[in-house]
Amino acid sequence: MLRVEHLKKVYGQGTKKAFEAVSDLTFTIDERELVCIVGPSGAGKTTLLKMIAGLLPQTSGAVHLDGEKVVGPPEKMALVFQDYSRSLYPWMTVEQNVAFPLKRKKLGKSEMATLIRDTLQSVGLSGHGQKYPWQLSGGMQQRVAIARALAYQPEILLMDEPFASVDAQTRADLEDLVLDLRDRYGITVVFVTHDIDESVYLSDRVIVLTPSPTRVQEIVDIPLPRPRDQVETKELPDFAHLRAYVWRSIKRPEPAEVPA
Amino acid sequence: MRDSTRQLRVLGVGLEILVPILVLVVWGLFSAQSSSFYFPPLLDIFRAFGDTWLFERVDSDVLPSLGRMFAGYAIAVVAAVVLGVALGSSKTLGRIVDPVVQFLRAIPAPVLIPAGILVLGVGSTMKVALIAFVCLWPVLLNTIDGVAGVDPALRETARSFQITPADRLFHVILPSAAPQIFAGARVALSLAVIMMVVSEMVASTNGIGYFVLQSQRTFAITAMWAGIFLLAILGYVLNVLFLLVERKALRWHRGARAGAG
Repeated sequence: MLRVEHLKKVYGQGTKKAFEAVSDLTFTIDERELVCIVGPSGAGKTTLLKMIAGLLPQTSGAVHLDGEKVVGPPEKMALVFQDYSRSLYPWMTVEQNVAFPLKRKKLGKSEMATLIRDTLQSVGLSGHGQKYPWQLSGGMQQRVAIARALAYQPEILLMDEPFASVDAQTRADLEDLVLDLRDRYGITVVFVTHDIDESVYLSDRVIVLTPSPTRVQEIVDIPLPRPRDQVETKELPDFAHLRAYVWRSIKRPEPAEVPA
Repeated sequence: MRDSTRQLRVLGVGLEILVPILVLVVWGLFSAQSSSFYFPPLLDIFRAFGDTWLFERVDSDVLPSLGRMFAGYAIAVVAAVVLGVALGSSKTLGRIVDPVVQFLRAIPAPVLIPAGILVLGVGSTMKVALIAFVCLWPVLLNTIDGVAGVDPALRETARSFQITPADRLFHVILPSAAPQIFAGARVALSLAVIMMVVSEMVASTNGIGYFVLQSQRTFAITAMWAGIFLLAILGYVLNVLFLLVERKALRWHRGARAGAG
């Protein structure tokens, strides 16, 4: 379980240019849950994700993963960045990229090979292991990044606008891949996106953030039936309602002054 | 389309080989009747080249020269990469050391020869040290730049996967900085050749530079030209070898750039 408590981030604290990116965030994410975090652009979504990932120290508050306070990147966590072209290592083949974070796990040679083969297969990249990332399309590169995260065998997968720079069709395929992998590997997924349709389609719950300095505007339950389907789910009246609801929640002007 | 690009490539390679030959032929023809003491016929130079360098003076001059050059070059590259990684990794450290680096690299290295002779003597140590000094700067500055410029996304990825510091250095930072390190090393290589020759002209009893100067002083002009020829060939071959190594080491870089573009 992931618990975020009164998380706050001020950049350049104590200086004239101090900027409060995240004001006060509290929420929990249960095991095996898929939660999307949405908010207007500049809402400090990436800041939040980096604090959860232990890559950025918070100003105050805390992140707990399974009861343990996060102070650095936790071993149970893997991250998929938005910009796959900058997070994959171009001097490594696909296989080497996936294998690189596994070195410290001290697996046997055959165990390692099996793990890599299986994960590449599960993201639909069988037979591409010897290629370099730059020889693949954008969607396939993001699949490599997902495979790398999965092979790391995390309990929780953080994804930072992972499909923001792929075309619509690829995006739909990758969304379904995430749903499929969540079921198959039984992992928790925290998914940051600015795409409202995507958030409703994927989520069990959607956390809506306010503009900076960020607070939780609202947490919306998404009781749409599973398994979800790009066509059928999206033509449900409930989908349209939820989508509209989340949309209005984001667009809503600054909530009434927070009571003191 | 494909046929025509191929034809162009064949034409290009053909010209690459043909033009130098043509230059030599023209030079040979024009100089054939030369009675000038200073500009002997090309064929005479070639003959002198064969007599001196194939392979009579290889042992006595070429090998000592190359040995000192490679020693100095290797010391410089290793030291520059080690220092560059340290200075490139810390902004503060980099800033503190920058004025010193800029000051030292502004010194024209040949001017250090007199001091070098005083401190290190006229032997190989002084020459190796000066070659290393010259070669250090381009590699150092490029390494600092390359290391400081490693994409933060790559560093963050490594951190989030808890990659060990050693693996981060050897598999993330150095490969990422490699294109710039190689660019610096290539500049340094030509500087190494220059410094090798210069150091041998001032205080030496062997080496190619010594041979060229000695030939001039003893009015062995064809031999002098032959020495210059050898240096040109050496420089050319070294550059080609370097490019071969670079091509192999940075295959991913060319591919990634082509892929992005």
